[in-house]
Amino acid sequence: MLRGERVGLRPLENHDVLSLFKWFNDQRVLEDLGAEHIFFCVSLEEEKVMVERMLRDVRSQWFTIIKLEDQEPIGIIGLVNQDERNAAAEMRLVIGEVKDWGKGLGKEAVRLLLSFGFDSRGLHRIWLRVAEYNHRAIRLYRSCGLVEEGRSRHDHFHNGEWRDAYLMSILDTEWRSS
Amino acid sequence: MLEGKLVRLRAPQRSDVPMFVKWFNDPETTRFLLRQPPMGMEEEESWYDSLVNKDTKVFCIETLDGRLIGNVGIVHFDWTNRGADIGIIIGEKECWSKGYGTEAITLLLGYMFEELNLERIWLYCDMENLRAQRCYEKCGFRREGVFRHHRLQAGKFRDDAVMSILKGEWLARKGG
Repeated sequence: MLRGERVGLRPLENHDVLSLFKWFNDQRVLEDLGAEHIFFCVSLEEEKVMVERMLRDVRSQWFTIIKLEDQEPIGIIGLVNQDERNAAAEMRLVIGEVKDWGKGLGKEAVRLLLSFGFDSRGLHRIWLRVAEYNHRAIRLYRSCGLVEEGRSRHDHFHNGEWRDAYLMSILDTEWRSS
Repeated sequence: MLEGKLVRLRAPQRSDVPMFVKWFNDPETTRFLLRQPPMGMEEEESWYDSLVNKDTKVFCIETLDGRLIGNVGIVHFDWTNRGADIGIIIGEKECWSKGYGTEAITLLLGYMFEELNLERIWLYCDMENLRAQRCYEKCGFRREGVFRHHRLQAGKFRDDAVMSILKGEWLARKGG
């Protein structure tokens, strides 16, 4: 497990499906995930298939974010689309427990993952996509040193219109100097 | 979860299956259904299992106090042409004619037009099922034709009304 002060990252397990099932049926969580194209009302069986796919995908590595005080899972974070030749990967993050929003736990999880990616996996570049209206997440990523490098125009359809997503990234040199 | 003033749509779960069996074996409920009863527990279970691999989306309709009263679903997607057809059953008979189905369909239409960016949503409905046709009209559907002798049921070929609503019509209704 990757340990921080208040949260830890442990590998995603099949039994986490119950947590994911709960989170991905919570409209408050889905609202900001526009870029992920997730259907609402995902059944437990569909969620199981999704988790199995996440675990099987050799180019992705998923962690469950847990609170160290009581081991309660609060979200997932992962490096996906890993490109070994170019030492790059895409980061994904969902804090599914709404009651734990706004406590800085996501920031700690992102820093743990960046440290894992750069310091243990030797990555050079970690990037992500975030919906332009997900201000909470954009603030968090900026505070972790990621910078906006571009805009995926009309990235997805949401609330009756096409919305953009920001592309953000951080390089290993930037991580080390921060 | 998608919530309105009377009902919410949620994911189906395995423990709902006995309710589905009850509904699909009540002749009064299934009189106008396009799917042919009777359905046993095993058949219904395997239908439930098959949903995972199908391009069909089923939602359970429950009242805001958590009572399961029916299902609504997207039967097929035609992504290239931005179309889809839907179906609905209100299985709990005492919940008929209370506006639950109308709201469930309206919630689903909002999702299909405003999140999935579809252009045309259509359905077909037994010509004699006037209650359902009124409900669909309230939701903004218009009858655009009739499939004559479209289904064989109880020894008789039945006609189905084809109804649809386009994205522009949905947006105009919402604006008005």
